[in-house]
Amino acid sequence: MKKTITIISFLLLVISCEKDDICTTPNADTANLVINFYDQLDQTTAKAVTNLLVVGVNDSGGDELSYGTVSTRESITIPLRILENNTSYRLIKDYAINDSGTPNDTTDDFETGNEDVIVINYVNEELFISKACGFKNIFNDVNFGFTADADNWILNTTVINNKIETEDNAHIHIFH
Amino acid sequence: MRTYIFFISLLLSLVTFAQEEAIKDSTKTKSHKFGLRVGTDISKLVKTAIIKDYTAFEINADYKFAKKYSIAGEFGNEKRTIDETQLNFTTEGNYFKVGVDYNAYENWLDMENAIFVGLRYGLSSYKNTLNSHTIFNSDPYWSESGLKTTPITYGNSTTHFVELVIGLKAEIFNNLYLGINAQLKNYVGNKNPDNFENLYIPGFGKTTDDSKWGVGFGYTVSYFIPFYKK
Repeated sequence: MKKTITIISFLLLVISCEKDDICTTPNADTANLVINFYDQLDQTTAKAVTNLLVVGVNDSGGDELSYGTVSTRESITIPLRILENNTSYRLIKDYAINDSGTPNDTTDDFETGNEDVIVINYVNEELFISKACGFKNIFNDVNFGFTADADNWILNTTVINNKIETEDNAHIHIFH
Repeated sequence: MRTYIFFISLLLSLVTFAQEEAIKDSTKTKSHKFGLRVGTDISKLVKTAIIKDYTAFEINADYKFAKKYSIAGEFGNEKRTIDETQLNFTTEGNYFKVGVDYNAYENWLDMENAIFVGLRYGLSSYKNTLNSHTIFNSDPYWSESGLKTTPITYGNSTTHFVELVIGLKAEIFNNLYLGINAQLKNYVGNKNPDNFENLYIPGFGKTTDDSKWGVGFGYTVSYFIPFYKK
């Protein structure tokens, strides 16, 4: 009997040696870029971009699938590429699909809206969080720009925080 | 929860040993053999043989310098690869532990059986290599796996720890002993490499995010070399 208890208690000892780690650290995930939109004329007032569609641009200049759906927003939170040191997005204001007067025929549909292309350059840094969470990526020395075209809806931009580590506050302000 | 199970089983083990001791209390003699007991941890040899990515070897010794006290120590080498969800790493290094065992067992005649409680100071010196890791990125928009497979070797790590050990050693053959022990450890000094943590410490075991405690066990086989009798 005593031996049985001893053996069982030692087995329990062995089992208790292993502990599961679950990632619960706050902000352990790689942060997305947070952009807030402001009024160009009154630069302290938030101003929503109407019917905005966000589309990632891949390395060959083509479109990824849209990031989210068309909506009117004062702020966007978009992911940056962690294996590259730059990311581009098309921000299409007043996005709509013109069906050429033929709602049942999608072949002649075309997209309308004012498209501006933003480019974000940065330096990647890996930060160790914990055994369960592993590493997160931090974007340092963030540089933000937009491609000039004949009809930019983006008028000005400011980098508020050039280190993207959390999503608590905006990193970029866009004035329009 | 598991911490509670650990302490309960530790108590149970102590209680059952104490009972066995009480039964044999009636017939004891004053003759004592003094000498050196040298052995190895067979659990490490078995684990080396059956677990892939694990190699370990330990030499342990105790020298009885007083009726109930021995100087005891372990020296070993461990190499272990651990695969976690977000990372895969290898830790390799040496450790030694030195301390005192108190033998609570009253032996018959010339036997050197032991039910002991011991305290150790441990020092582990080792190296971490991150074999691969995945950047934690829950937004899959860019279809990047975030997996990095270029190994990163970190500088030398050192950890100091204290260890409480309880166990027994029983003579199964002429001067040949089999033992079992359980260890509870707490690290007192631990230097992490830059941008990484010591997740496994040779001689100590796995570390956890939220505590400095570690547990371990050993099954020893050792040989007693008698020096003199008193």
